[in-house]
Amino acid sequence: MTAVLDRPAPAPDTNTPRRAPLRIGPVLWALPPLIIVLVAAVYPLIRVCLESIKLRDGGLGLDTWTSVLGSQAFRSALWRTVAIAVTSTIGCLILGTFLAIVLAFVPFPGSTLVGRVIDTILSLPSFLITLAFTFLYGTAGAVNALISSITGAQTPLLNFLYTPAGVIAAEITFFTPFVIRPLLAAFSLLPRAQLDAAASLGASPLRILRSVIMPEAWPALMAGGSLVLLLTLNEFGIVLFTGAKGVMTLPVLIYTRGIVTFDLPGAAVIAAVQVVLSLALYITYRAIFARVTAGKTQEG
Amino acid sequence: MTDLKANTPATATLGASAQPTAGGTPAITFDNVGVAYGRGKKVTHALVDFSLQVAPGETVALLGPSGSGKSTALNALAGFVRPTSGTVLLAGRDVTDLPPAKRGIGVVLQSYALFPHMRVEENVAFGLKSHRVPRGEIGPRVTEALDMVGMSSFGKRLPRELSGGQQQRVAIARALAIRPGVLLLDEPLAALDAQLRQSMLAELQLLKEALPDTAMMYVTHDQAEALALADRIVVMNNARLMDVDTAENLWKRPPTSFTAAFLGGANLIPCTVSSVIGNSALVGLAGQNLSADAPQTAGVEWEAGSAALLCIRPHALQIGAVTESGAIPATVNASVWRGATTRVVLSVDGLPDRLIDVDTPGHTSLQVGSQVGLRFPEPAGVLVRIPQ
Repeated sequence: MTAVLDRPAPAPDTNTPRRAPLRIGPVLWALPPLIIVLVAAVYPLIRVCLESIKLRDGGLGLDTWTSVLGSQAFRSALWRTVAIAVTSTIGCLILGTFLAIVLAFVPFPGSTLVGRVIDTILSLPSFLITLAFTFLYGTAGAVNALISSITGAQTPLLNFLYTPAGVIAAEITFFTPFVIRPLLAAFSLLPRAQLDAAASLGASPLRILRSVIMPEAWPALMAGGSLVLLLTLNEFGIVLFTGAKGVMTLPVLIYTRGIVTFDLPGAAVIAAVQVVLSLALYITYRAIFARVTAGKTQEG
Repeated sequence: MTDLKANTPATATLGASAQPTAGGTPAITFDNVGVAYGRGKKVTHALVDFSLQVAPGETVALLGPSGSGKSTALNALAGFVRPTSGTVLLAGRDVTDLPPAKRGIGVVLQSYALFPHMRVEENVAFGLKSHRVPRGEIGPRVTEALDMVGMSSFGKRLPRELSGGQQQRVAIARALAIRPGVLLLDEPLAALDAQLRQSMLAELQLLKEALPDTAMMYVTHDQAEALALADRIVVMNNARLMDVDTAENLWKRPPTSFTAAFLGGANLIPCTVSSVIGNSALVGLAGQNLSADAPQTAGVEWEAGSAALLCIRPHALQIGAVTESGAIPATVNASVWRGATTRVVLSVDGLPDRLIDVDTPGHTSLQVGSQVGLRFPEPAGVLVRIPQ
């Protein structure tokens, strides 16, 4: 009996995780933004998807999907959208990288002003660039007037503005700053000592750029490029202003079907495809980015 | 190492200008080099009339406080900044206007500056590839350079997988792989903790012995590093070269009060020279006559009645009982134990408003305000000019 009385009471199991008390505060704080996202973003997307499967007789089905996806206009617009977006992105990457390198590593008078101008372009609406393009490169624009005054030609020699090339040129002009900004930020983080060390080891400026600078700026370049690809894929203003006559992209096709011909289910199908395209691109970008950064972390 | 010292110029009587080397072309020559930033009224002089020669195989430490111009001198030599005046020569060749890539100098920087995306062996091979060394030679030379710093087993690691000391070793290997005639080290140990700094210092001494033909310039603000590594020390202040000489000469006979204070934190006590005999003098201090070294260097002639500073190292002074014969009465102002020594700050009765630092071995417990006797060594110290 004594033994039983003397037996120490069982110690509390310290290994059992204690359940954290439910706090209502954080939940209340999370509710408003959650509701806003649901109402402003998720609900419209669901409505678009529902609209795309709505039949003329009021029922639900995939007839609209079949007819839209099978149409030549859709396939042509899809191909053109992807082609313009990819070409513009490549152009932005090349031009943006070049300009960022010049701004960061080639000191020249007025470089700060150029930086400010780039920031200004970021704040402008895209169609404004296109409007400027019309005044510059349009058939009655300044460049054609100059060419005519020199060559005496009666018809405008420069006539690319309303072709895919015009759209690409405008998109490159407008979206290049989206590549420049993250690159400049990445370059500013690069220690000066690394460049000095590379130079002292006999590396030429080109080799320093290729072997030291760009590998460090790769995530920024990828982030800028992905952003531009997303934006160009969904670009509407530039295409409408320059290429609407001859260039039909998915956003313009959605506009035409939805607003001009009132084919809302058809427009909803294309919009759904557009959403899937954008999400797929975003997920791919996040996956690649996570892999790159995770790789760096693991290496560390 | 013996050969290296044989090549080191005897500099006891050299002033703070260009130092001739003992025969042959100097590995490094600074000829009145100046570096300034800005223009007009906003100009900042980072280096003024800097002249120095370094012999092949010699190690020279540039020692000075922050902003003294030591790193600017090194950057001018490496080609990272362009001198606004003067000439920089490497082995007699004018490189003043050459870009860093064309100078063939090995540079080790405080921040290591390893390329983070490259593995250790790629970092070390970088310079070799830049110099278009044949592909077959690169591997063995990378191994050789990594062996030299004891990092051969870390070739596949990335810099971020290494400790600070290991990264610094790789940076040294990378600089050595191109077999430079001149190696520049810009505060290479500054980013390391005290323990690691000591072990790296020993390794740098070994490295110096392993490279008897390589001239080294070592920038530091740590006098212990300069004393341990350098054949000669260049003391800099306010963008100017103050003094240059062997470590021993600068320590024992500092030519200027700045060098005396910066190198070892000597006490500089105002005194009057009573008499001078050869290189010795008697000085009056706190009512006593003390003997002192009076080195007759260029432009300095001691004579009776002239005012001077008596330079005494804190560890050379002794504290005893106030009743001891020959002891000068003093009051303890502060006593700080530093591990191996105790720094005692005394106010000496005969020297109003003048505090004297004394280092006593071990842990000495002295009550603040207590009276002690201060004893000077024989000779008491060395005379230094009063700065004008």
